[in-house]
Amino acid sequence: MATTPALRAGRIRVLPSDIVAQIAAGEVIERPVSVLKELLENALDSGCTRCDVRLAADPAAFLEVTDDGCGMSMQDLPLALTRHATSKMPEAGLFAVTTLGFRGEALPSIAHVARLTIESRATGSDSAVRASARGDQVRLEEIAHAPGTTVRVEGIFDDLPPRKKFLRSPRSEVKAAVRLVTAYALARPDVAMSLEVEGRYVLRLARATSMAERVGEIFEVQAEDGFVKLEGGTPPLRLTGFLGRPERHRSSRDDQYFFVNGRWIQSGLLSQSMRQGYRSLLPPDRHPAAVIMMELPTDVVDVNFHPSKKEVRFANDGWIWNELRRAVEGSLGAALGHVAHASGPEIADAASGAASSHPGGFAPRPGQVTEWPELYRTAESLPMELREKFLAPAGSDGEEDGAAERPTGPQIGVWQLHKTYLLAPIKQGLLVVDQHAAHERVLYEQALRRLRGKLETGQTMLFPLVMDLDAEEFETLLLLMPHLERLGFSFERLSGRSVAIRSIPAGVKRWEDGMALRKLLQEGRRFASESDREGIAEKVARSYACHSAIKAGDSLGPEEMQALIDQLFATSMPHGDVHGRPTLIRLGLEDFERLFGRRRGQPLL
Amino acid sequence: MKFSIHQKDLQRLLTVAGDGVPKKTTLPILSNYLIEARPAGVRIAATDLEISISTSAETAVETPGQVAVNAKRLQEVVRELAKDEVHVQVDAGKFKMKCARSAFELYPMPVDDFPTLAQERATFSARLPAKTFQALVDLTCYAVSTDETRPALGGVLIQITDKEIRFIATDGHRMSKAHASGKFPVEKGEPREAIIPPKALIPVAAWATESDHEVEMELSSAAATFKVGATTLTSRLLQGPFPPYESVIPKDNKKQLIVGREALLSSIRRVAKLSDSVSHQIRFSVRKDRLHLSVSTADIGAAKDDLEAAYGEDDLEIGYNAVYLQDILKSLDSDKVLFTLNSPVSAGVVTAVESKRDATALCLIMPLRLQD
Repeated sequence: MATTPALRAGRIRVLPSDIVAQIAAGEVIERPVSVLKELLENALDSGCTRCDVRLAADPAAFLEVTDDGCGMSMQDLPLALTRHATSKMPEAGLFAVTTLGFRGEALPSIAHVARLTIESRATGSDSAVRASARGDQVRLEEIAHAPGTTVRVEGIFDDLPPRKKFLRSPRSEVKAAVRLVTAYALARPDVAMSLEVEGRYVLRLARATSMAERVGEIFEVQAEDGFVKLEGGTPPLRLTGFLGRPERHRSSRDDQYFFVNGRWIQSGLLSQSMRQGYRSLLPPDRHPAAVIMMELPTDVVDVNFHPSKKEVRFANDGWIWNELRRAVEGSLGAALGHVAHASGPEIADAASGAASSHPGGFAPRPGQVTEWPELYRTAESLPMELREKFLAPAGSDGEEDGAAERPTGPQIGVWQLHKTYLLAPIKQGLLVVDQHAAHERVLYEQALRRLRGKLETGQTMLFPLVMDLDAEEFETLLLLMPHLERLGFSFERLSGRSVAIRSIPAGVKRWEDGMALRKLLQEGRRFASESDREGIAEKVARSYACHSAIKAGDSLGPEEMQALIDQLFATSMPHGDVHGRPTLIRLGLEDFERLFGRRRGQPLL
Repeated sequence: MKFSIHQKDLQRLLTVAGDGVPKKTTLPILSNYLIEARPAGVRIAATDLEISISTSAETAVETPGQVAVNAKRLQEVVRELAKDEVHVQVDAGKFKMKCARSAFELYPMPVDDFPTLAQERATFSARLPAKTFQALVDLTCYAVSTDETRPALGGVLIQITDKEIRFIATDGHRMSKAHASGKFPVEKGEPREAIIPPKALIPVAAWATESDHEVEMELSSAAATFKVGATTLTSRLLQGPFPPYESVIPKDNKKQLIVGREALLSSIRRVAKLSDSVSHQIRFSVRKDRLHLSVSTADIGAAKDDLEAAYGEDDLEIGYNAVYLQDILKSLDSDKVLFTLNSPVSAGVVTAVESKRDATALCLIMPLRLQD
């Protein structure tokens, strides 16, 4: 019987120090991009104003971070290479950490898995020093260097073939590095940053004066065009940032960046609670772009939870979840509502670059909307007023902004384009509404209110619709019956699985032939037996809205078009339909100017 | 082709045929009139492929021929011409028109592109006085469905027996069955029925009323043709089946409510201003010799009105769609109307009390289930 040598008795021994160091280093240095992370954090903690990153096509072979920060002196540098030596540990201890790094582990760890070269000139010093480290051996020499520090790491894991074998492809390292540098660029708009891969600039960002500017530069879109400003949080939590407009949804979460006290973290929890805040504004499996900054006292968040500091632990997960979801809902509700119907001030402001001075500031709406029913109620009180604001003929009002006085032609009301889109002139351009998507949104919210409220009016039918259901449809019908009755349906069981529909919701079309109901029942199979009543109601409402809404190809009269637009803006989320597609697009005069070459830049189209 | 015609006559022909020109079309030829000069006179035709209209006038034709010209432009030009003789000719591929001192040239489209509707042998024909036809149309066309899922309801079912002609329209929520009995001659063929869209019936009624000509109706298996004087409209038939309308007419409605038509109509108009924009719900509270109308709409407000009526049965609460009620009341012409009711969820019957029209109607309206 063969025995594994390591398990033989009496063979336990203390590991040599370099092995211990390598194991420990492994905790921090999982992959080349984690080296980069440590170096970046060091650079940003150094008080630099610019930070440049260079990578080889395989970042494991070569990566270098240069900053113009405080630098290290001849005396400090060897210490920096010693384990648990740091300048960042506050007197108050671990829980008062406000810098990005604090463990004092990074540089020695890196030195144990790669060739590390540090060149640094401390502020106020005339001379620079270079330290070349490999394991515990450090060689120091005096050199010439600009103020600041350059850290170069080469041949990561070259001496540890088993680890090297498990590295991901260079390409995925580069991808992760781009995301990492982007994240820190978002966290620190005040630092000019660049990322060069194999001599080619991937990112080149000048110092920005505001978060909005940096966000705009990174996502290559005017921040106010592509994002909604996030404001929220109950003290001591403060939430700020930018929420991608729902129509700019993505297939992955790669464009979501979360920061806790300036530290970039990855959190499924935060991502999910934000997604909840978007609710039905996004299609399933699509994700918003977002930059979210959370500020909270250091005693309710533990950043020392994971060695790579990628994850943090909150003292109260549920609280953070609710706060974020609510803030996202509120900010989206306020901003999208008001973007959609703000004709005058908001858009005019956007043109003069001052939109950000009105964060969600549509006056009659509370800045912080916490409950959905409240949102509905607020919204419902608006239509007439909106309508006046929204379709007022040019010059009918002495608006504050000069831009509004530009001629927009006589009021021609709403137009239907190809029986699919509604075109409405607004003061600063043109509103294009997708009639189906818009109606879907309207019906969805009506249905939701009905499902939560009292029984709704049903139109009884002269010729009751008799449907023969299969076993599954019938089962689903029985389960959904209470919901459907609230919507205005009434049923009568004839025999077996034959059902007569005695009434249908008043005013809806397309239900006369029973196809829509059958589709609803078929969709209902998936959710009818769920236990979450509210969830079922939401899904019934969605399915009902989808099948009742007017379709592309339905022609609408002028009053119908006007009514649809009024109703759309009375909803809580006029901007998106229940599947997350946009219901409307605003083409500003500035877009037309660009299209006609009167103004430089890319039009939105 | 060469002919002359007075501006007034030409304009009339163009206006009548103009009802057949589609407002929007993907087939360019359909935006044209087909003008045909025959030795006996001029015929002008237009079609949207569902209905086609052809109308003619006697006039001096020098050379017969055909031409297809843009309907809208021709109509606009002719409207502006001097009230004088118009000389029309096709020469060197151009449509030329002279009137007084003005001259116009239009570039025609190939005549061969103009669709010709297959003429089928009529299996049935009937004649109706203008007033009767107008009454039947007025009493029914409002109830035609606009829901595309049930195409047969998008038309009026016309049934003719030797004693009676019936027009029936329904959208599933209300129904109107109008009939004119009495003596109108039924020629050849057996009793027949067809479903015809309102857009064919409404212009025919208008021409008949205007000219006080009889309407001659012919049915074939695929089309219905209506002749009024020198004008013919051919309509494709809508495919059935039409629902079994007879079976839904209630037989056991015992509660009779008689109320002034104008008074009820204006009361509904007032109160319905505050009704829900989708359901248009209005509540009838029927009491002894009184009818209370009320509306209460979440987020909007409430309204009440009160009418004298003749009623002697148990109190009744019924919800109706105010728009449907107004349609019915407007189509009737009597001083008073009779509601024959049963329960809050069954069909109500509305009829005119002593109609002056040449046709009588039975109107059914399904209630809205009241939300209590």
